[in-house]
Amino acid sequence: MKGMQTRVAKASPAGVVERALSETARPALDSNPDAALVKAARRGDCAAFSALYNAHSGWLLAVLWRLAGGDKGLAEDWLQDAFVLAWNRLDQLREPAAFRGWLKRLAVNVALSEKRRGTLTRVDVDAEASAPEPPWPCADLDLERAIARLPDRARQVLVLFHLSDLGHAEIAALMGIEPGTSKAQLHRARTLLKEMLG
Amino acid sequence: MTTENSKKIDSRMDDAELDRRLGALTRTAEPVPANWAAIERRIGQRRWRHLMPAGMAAAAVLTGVALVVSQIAPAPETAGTVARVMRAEVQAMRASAPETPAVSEVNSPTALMAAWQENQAAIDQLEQALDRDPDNRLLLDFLTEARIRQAELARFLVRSDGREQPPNDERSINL
Repeated sequence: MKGMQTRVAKASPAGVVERALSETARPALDSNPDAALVKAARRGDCAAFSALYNAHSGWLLAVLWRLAGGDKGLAEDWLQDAFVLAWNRLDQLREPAAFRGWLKRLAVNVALSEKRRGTLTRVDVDAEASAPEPPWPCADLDLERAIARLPDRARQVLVLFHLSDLGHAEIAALMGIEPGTSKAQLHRARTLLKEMLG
Repeated sequence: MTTENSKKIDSRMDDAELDRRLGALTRTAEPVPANWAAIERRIGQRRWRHLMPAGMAAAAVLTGVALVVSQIAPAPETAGTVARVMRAEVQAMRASAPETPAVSEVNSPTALMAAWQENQAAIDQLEQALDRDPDNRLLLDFLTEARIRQAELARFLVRSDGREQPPNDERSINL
């Protein structure tokens, strides 16, 4: 959390955090930097929302890139959609300090709903040829590519479970499946990965 | 278990190794600046869209006020805004007030009765207008003045020779 606070302070536009802080909001910032920024953004402060974007877009893009099977353009589209939705729905966020989890569910919903509509068809068609390259310095390219080559459902569950820190109950709710199906898909994904990487 | 199967299993990565490699994966990326620029552009548009319903609602309210005002008295054709219509209405109503003769200047019982009926009609109109616009302080002030005038007219009618009595109207008594 300390690291997060430092990152927000550095990444946010000059003075945004301070402006977002009223005297009453300061204790909230001490415990969670998102709360004051969310409150300011709700009042229409675009700079505060920019600070939220700076704090959360990095980890969210990584999740979305993997959910998209290594399609950077699609992941960036989802990232934009998620933040635009978040801006429009900020009033629906009951606990401003819970912005991170709320945003994650929102973004995953964006990604999964597009998957459900069948707009992405490229995965598994020519996996070797696509060989996605992560948009970050990659220490384990083989594993990244193996994850990208997993079948959609198995990859989604694996990414949400291992790389988004969601439990089976929440994954099941987000994907509209039974928790048992989520566990089975995770097992399938792990088995496939071990086969591909073994 | 065959030797081939055994070799296949041995060659597989074990769960602990998979977990280790999954745990070591990069968790953050650096989005390109164009992403935020696109988001900012989109939320900027949305902000204007959010303002539009509020603007339309305000316009509807103003239109409603204008309609109420126009029913009380026709607005001048030159009035371009609701505020101007309202001001014109106030001026018209205030300008008409001195034309009403003072109660003490109405001498005959017939004239008193006519004034009473005319004033009662004004009270009825003001009450109808207040039903449509209950928060209109100006209308309330005029209604109060009209009721006071009505009470004075009733008092003068009773003092006159008694040949004519004002109708028994509760509204003119209940000030």
